[in-house]
Amino acid sequence: MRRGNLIFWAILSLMAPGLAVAQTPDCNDRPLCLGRTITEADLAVWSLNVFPDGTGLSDGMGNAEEGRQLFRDKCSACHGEKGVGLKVLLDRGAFPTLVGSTPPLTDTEEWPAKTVGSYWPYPTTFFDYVRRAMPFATAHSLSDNEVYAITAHILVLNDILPAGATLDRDSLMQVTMPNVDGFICDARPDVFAPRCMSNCAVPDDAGVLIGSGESYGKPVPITDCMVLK
Amino acid sequence: MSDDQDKQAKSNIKVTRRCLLTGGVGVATGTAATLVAGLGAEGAAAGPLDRPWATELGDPVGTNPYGHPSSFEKTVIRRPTPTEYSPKGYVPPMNESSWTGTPLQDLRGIITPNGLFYERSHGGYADMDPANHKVVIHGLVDRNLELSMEDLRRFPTVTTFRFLECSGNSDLIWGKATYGGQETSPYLTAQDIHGLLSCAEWTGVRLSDLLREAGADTVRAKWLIVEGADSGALARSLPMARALDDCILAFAQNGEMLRPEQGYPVRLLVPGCEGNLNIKWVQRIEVTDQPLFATFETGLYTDLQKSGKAWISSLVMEAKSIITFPSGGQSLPEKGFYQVRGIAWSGRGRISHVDVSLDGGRNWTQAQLTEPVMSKCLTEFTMPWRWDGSETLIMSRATDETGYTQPFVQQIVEARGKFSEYHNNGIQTWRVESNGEVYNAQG
Ligand code: HEC
Repeated sequence: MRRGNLIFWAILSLMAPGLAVAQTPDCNDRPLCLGRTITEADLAVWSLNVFPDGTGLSDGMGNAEEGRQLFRDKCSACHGEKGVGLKVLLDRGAFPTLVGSTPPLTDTEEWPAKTVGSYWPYPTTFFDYVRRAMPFATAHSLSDNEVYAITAHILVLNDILPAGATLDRDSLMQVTMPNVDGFICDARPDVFAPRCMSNCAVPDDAGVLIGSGESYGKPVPITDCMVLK
Repeated sequence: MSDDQDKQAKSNIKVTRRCLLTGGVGVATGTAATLVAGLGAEGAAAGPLDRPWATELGDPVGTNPYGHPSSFEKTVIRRPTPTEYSPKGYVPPMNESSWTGTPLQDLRGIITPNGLFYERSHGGYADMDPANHKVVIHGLVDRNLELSMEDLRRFPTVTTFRFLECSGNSDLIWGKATYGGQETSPYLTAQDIHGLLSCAEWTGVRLSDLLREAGADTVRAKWLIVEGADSGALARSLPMARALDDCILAFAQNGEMLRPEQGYPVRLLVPGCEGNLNIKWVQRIEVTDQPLFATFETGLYTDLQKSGKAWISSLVMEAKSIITFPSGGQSLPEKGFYQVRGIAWSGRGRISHVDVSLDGGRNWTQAQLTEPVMSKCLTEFTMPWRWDGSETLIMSRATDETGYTQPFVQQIVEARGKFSEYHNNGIQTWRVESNGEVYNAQG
């Protein structure tokens, strides 16, 4: 008798799992009622995301002079005193360069230096990244004030801020990066290659077709593209 | 013989006999009889029955509780790009932010064994206790959810076959001018050039199910900021449209739990899209109306065009193929029959055709695709070939179900400029020399 009952419920819950889980208290508002709900306050202590509109930037401030000291102590061992990354492994390896060059980075003979100053579109990206990932090997060891100070120092080195500048949430939002207009949406498929089977053109020939992507294939979805300001 | 060894030997014999007697009756006893007869007749003469593995017992069953390949396959391993063939500034300065490639030239079929799956990390790889790992979904949701791994595994699961490819894969053959005009080495192998590509069967839960559970506002929210729990908390912006389509949070790969190198205990899988977007060790998903413009979607992995503007959000990996045999570093021992083989894939769907050229791209022959042919997954192709011993430029070209055909690298460089660097899906040419040695002919 009891046993029959159990089997009945087992079959019923297999057929209609919603029915079985809906009995769990406080949880009839979601499909499966798995996991627990938490508050924004629980999350705030370890929120890292900083968006270009300033969302996520913390209170506090820092000065470029303090930033110079901090950079020498905590960053220069890899990125060099002047922010020009150190070379290793007979120059085949290099730490990222954070300073130098100016946009636009058009075709040159040398590899163009994509640095924080010449390439990154928003200052918030620097704040976000240093706070989440640097110093390499001792991430999350800097206070928010220290991150502001180092951000100020790097922007000074890149001639984006005047010497001795101080940064907080408001003043960081006033900074316009030189390459803010340097990004566009992906235009693929951008290279036209017909599926030729015999006597086809090869790259050394004159007249190998390079057309626009409109004539064939499927364009990348526009929803992929981060909308630029 | 000590008592212990004696016991061990006896038990081995018992096991052997039991297998013979109860196993496939007729066949097993028949084989045993032949074995004995053969030994009697040939005695110690050299021959298949005289080899150590035929006359002595092998290692006991259970010697390797987690098996590994034959010792004769020990060169088939993941490798970093060889420093000596790398251009200036190319090599990662620290091994914690580095990569190793899959030995594509030594593998068959479409599945990459877990131990050979390519690695790319930006802060080393951690081995995290799943009992302490939580995934949080918050932001534009009805309720912020915290899921333990146990919670996560209770959601309905899906299993799919998908490739993963780093956006920087094949950047060594972007064109000679790329790195200060340095020559590209002819000694590069398929692994060196294209090894940041692997494919697996993934099991996990649909991201759309998790978003529904949290009550995500999928009208207002256009982005998910997905973050890893590794050192550096690597974060990327995932378009909502993709999240609701075919993304999963995967916890298993090729039947077993993920390896630490692949983000154990849980990673994001964005089918067809560049590797970096497939966040490992996922700990947080923020549902938002704006993208993050994270370092790895601005400073890195963006494609600088001729104009000086850079493509942002170039997520899709376009149709591509490479020949893995014959390929750089291999050699053909003599003229005669060989099977050309390789792999093709597209981030936009299924591969529809692969063509092979043996004359530098003038004439092409359609290759045979090995079933199954799956969307956003590697597809194997083969072509019979009788090599006449003459120098041959061999290459493959993939076409996918959208009608897109893989172009020459030179066409891509001409269209995008010398420094676009990422997302190179151009054709790879190998040169088979008349002595049978095979070299990279792309650069
Ligand atoms: C132990 C060496 C080391 C130290 C110390 C270090 N970094 Fe780094 N940094 C790296 C490495 C390695 C990378 C590349 C990381 C990657 O590939 O993800 C990097 C990347 C960066 C980048 C991204 C640059 C780019 O163009 O991609 C920034 C910005 C940065 N570091 C800032 C800092 C700051 C600020 C400090 C000090 C607070 C610091 N780093 C300390 C090694 C270091």
